[in-house]
Amino acid sequence: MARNRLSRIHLAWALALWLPLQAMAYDQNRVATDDAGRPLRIQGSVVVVEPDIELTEVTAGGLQEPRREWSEAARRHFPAAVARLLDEGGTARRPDFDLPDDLPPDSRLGQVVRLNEAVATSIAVYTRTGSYLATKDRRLDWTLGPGVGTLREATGADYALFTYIRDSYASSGRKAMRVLGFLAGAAMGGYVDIGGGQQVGVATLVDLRTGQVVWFNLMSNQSGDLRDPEGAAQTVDEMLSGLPL
Amino acid sequence: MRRRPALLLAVLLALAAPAVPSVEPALPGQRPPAGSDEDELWYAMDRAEAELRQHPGLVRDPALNAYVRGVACRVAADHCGDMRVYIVEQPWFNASMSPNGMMIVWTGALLRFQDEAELALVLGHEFAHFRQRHSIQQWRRAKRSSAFLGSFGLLAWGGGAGAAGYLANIVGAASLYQFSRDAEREADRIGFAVATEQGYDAHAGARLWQRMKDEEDARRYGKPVPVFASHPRTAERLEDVRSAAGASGQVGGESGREAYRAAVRPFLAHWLELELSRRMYDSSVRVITDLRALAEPELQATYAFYEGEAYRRRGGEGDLARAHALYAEAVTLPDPPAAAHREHGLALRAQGERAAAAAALGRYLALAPEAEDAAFVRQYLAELETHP
Repeated sequence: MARNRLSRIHLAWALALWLPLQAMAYDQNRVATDDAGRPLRIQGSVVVVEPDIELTEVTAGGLQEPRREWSEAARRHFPAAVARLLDEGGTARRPDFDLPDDLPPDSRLGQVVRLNEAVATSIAVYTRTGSYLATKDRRLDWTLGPGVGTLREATGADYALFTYIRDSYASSGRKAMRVLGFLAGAAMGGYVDIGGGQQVGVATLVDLRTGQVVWFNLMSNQSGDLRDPEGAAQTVDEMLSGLPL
Repeated sequence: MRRRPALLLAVLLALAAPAVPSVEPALPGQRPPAGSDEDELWYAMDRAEAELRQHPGLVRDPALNAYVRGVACRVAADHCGDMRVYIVEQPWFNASMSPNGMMIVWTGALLRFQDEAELALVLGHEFAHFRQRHSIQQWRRAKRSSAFLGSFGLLAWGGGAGAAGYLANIVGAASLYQFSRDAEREADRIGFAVATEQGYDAHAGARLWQRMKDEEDARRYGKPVPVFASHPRTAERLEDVRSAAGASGQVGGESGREAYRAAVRPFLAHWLELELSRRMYDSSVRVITDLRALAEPELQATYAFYEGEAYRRRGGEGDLARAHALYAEAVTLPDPPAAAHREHGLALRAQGERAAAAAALGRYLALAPEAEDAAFVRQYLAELETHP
């Protein structure tokens, strides 16, 4: 039972550790392959599982202040934009699946979502240059196992799209601080960027008949804005453009 | 382009502790105004709370939850309806309070309390953080300090005094901890006041902090660094709570020992097991001997066994002999845990007392036939019986 530490490693932590080292924009698009090494294509309907989205404001000193209204707006705009993208691509879609807030802890549905988070974290870490696993090499070879059948029964879909987004926006104080950083850097003859807001998104598409992770993407950039429908559409285009529709 | 870093440093450090207007204590039922920074903090904590409710580490036993919540409500009085109490399975001594009214108590604290008055004092302390709205004060202070330190660091660096920026960061961080310690002191004072107002024993804190200090002293590594400690030093808290108890002039305060012991008894063996999982056996030995000194006769065997386990797992000079003596003692006391028979039997087996070893292992299997290690023990037993 001691393993039930509250301090389980969250996706957020893993990302926070190495994302700042990445260049301005980053993309880690991967598609699973069949036995012959050909990329898989989606065959069946897709359900968008309630996205895990939080938006924050970066204070002048670099602290992240949560923003309820922005987050709630993003939770509306983002799934709408995903629906549009899937519809335009001619992919069959089941109604969005919202996780009930009062799920008991041993609910299989809740466990599937948390398992996806854990697997997505592993994919993010072990599917990039310098850290490929010897047993998997460059293949996207991950599964949540057949337990995802519960989600298939609950939604009627063949695939589930899980998304996780953390998006931050520079406050005016932070913008001023950034300018100050540029100036101080220039005075010393260098280039200094203390950073402003940043958008990080992780998405997985899971085959609910087998549990296989069919597609994965991690993206990070310093633009993007989920607070309005246009920005959400732009983010969705960037984040999901690699979906094997 | 020579600047004068020293002057810059002096000017900026003069501004080093940006003043933060203090906030009024919360009234019962009070919520932060919509759109305020406090409201955003509540929102974030509400999300965290929703996650906690699904967490496997949450202790869900209805009787224990009702009991702890009852004590929290008694000290929080009119604010009872604003708080939710959660018990989290973690073997360290800790409790915490979020700005939105989410109060968390770790099982490591519940293991260590001797009575309800000690629990009430700690819950009173956490409640004080809530009522005094310490989180929002701290958040505002952190925002100001980090902004200030950011600009100071950049200016000092731009002016060729990079080290000064680094130094200021340290000073700034230490000042945040200083505020945190002041908030803790205030919470200590208020916690004491609300618990004693409810008739709880004013001397409970002195007992509790004395034991915490003993435990801290028993620790051989990982002692907190005072400058960056978020809480006041234990010795200082002990002194404060002692003088407060003396000044209160209270005699015959309620300890609530019977009720407390009855509420936690079903969980003690499991919590002791978790206590050992910390692998800090020096302090575990201290904790368990303290608990045993006051424990009821029917719990003596349980504490003796886990004390023995702490020695066995520590494995220092003479520890194994101490462990063996404690197992031998435990099995003579009323109601020992099944595992005490197993460990006692294995000790006898190691000493070559094969018949006695077989008898003890047999008792273990009789008491715990479904144990995970039953097959191993059966194998030992078969060996002992074929070559007595």
